Amino acid sequence: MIAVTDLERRFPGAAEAVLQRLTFEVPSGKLVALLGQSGSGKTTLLRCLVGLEPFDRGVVTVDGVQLRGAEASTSSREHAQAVAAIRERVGLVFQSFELFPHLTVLDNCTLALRKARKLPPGAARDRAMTSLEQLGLASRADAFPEHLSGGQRQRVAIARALVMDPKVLLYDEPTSALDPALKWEVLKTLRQVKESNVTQIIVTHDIKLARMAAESVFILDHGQIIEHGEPSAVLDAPTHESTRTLLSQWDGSPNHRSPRA
Amino acid sequence: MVFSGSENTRSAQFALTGQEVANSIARFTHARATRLLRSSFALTVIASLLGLDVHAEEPAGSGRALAAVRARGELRWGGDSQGGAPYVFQDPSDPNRLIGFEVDLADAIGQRLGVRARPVQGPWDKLLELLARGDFDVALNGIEVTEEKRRVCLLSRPYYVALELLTVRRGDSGAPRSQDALRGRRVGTLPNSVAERILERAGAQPRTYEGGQNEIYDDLRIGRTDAVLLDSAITRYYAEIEPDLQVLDQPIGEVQYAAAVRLGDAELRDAVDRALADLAQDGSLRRIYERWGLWNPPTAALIGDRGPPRTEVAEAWEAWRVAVGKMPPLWERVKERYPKTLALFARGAALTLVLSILSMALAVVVGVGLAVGRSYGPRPVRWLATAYIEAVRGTPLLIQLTMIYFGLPELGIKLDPFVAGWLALGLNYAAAEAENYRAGLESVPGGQVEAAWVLGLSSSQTLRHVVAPQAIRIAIPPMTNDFISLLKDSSLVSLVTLTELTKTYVNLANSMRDHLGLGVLVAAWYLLIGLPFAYLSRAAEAHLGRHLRRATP
Repeated sequence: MIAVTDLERRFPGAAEAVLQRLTFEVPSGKLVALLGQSGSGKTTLLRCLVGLEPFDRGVVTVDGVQLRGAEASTSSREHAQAVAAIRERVGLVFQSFELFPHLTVLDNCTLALRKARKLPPGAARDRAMTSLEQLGLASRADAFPEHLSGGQRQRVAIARALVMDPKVLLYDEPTSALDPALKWEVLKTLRQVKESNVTQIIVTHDIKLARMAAESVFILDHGQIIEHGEPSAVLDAPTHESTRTLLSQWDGSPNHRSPRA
Repeated sequence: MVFSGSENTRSAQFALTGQEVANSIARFTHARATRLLRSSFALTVIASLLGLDVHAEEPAGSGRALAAVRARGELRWGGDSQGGAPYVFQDPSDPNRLIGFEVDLADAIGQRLGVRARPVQGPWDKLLELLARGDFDVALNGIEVTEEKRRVCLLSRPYYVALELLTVRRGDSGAPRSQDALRGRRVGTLPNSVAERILERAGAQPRTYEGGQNEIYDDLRIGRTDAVLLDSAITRYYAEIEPDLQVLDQPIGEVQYAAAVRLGDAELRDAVDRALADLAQDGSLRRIYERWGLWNPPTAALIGDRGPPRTEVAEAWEAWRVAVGKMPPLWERVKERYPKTLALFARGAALTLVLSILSMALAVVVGVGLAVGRSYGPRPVRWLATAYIEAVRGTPLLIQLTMIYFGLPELGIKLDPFVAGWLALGLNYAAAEAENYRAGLESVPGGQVEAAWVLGLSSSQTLRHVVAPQAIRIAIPPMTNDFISLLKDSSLVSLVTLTELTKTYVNLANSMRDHLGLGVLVAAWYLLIGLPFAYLSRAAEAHLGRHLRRATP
């Protein structure tokens, strides 16, 4: 599970914090969709959860490991250790996948196992092949990312995160870089990952995806979670004015694309 | 002729001398290459950088130069074979031999001192600086006796008097034919020479040439200048043999040549003076001058030779005239002469190649450090790397090399020519390489770096496994470009006594008076050593970029 307590992030010089005392919890193995307007802080939140973005106060707890904000005034060394420990437990699938173009699919998946986890090449290879098989990519193990379709690239990015055996996997706009028709493929993948009991948080604009995949939906507005609950409850009968605006903006637009926050 | 019995031995000695230059370069290159493979080389460099004098040689002007020469059994004398006939030059009919009346003179002086004479190549206008650095013991190459030279070196007694003679185009009625007529006229000569000073005093517009005598007379021939004023030793060899040029009989002045030693080496100077006196006494000097067709009344007066005029055949002069008077047709040159340049060009090319490869290696290592420092270092490191890159890239390589070779000795750091050339080229190109690598590093999207971090890779692992492999591919084409440039820029090391490919060409072209044919030849040599690298780099780029190729079913 992942727990966020009192998380606050303020960009230097900004009047309003991007994330305002954010508190939530996702139980183990659950799949949550995080919805919100552009600029609501969704992507910033994801970046804070993997230590790519520093935050001012609050605590992120994953599997007993805590990452604290700057005000906790831990030493930079302790902070670096906490970030490393968090990253061992949390994976992130980037919106544009960020595969390493000079490495094959297999090497993309084994690089961190070999270099960061110091696994012997054979063991790293076996583990990577297991993940690739799970996602139907075994036959493309020796291909370079450039030679793959968009959907395959995304699954490689997910496989690359999964081989690290994360407790939590975060997705930044998983459908935005893909053909809308591939949504089903993504959905299938998310369900496969769920079988491994990985907690998943999906930042998305895609309400259909949220409705079909998520067990719970969070609505983020101005750095706060204003509404959450089962998809049907939140998406069909929103209680909050902002949620209604959000849903009305997105419904009917076939691409569900808007500028990234 | 009394001396003729030993004439054969002497020419054998010239051959030996010419061979020696070539050998010493080869030995030198080889020795460097082997030494580089050992860490002692690195230690030498480091020691040098720390200001330790790694040379076992006597420091400049210690007053013990004579003892050092005797101990070494070798008198190292500096001259520039680019200066051409009749001083020190490559035999046009066999460029592997270094000949000239000063080669004979140096051998004779060496014999008197009981040591071998070994020529050291250096650019003519840098001879006194190289002497001061200690690259050789004596400078002996048409060094003119002037007052200001006495401030930077000790001059021996003069050994020759040359007349300053005007040369004009034959039949040019408007040509200046007297000192008074020189006012306002364009007259070619050598830079910083007595002749130039005479021209300035006469109100002429002197035009000076760094290259050699051929260019000076070529410009006269095609009308870029109205006349040429040069020493009679030169006019004898370059103007008299040209039917379309006319050397005027009336001298406009005289100049004396003397050998130079370092300030403070009075003992060596005295020894050279005694040798010259002996050579004048026993007629050796006169024989040398006669053989080279240089004997003239002022020189006779100078060395106190009151012997009757003789009509000896100036065989060395005749040989020169036959060799260069009329350029043989191309096919004959290709058949007869060019094969003899092979060994010299090969040595020049070897030096160019070895120096360039080692300099590029240094540039790559330092360049990577600079690029990483500039892109990822803490602020002071970034600032320093940027300052280095801008300063080095923004100043001429020639100045950097001059500072390293001639400037550092003022701080007590005396580098040998190869190390100085290597450092100058390597450190200069490091700035260019750093920018190539920075461009490569910056071409890798930041998202990939973050992806690597999230996967748990450290910053250095990310650099090594994710960023660098992609950056290198981007940097390879400009690197290849730089290496080819470096091959060509390495010709600058001729400044510091190294005879690489370009210098070999310039020397040969001047002594054979064949710029075009040899030019094509040297161009071919450059292509020969440069092209393999271009192919290698393309192969490497293709290999590193194989992920970019479309998959073929």
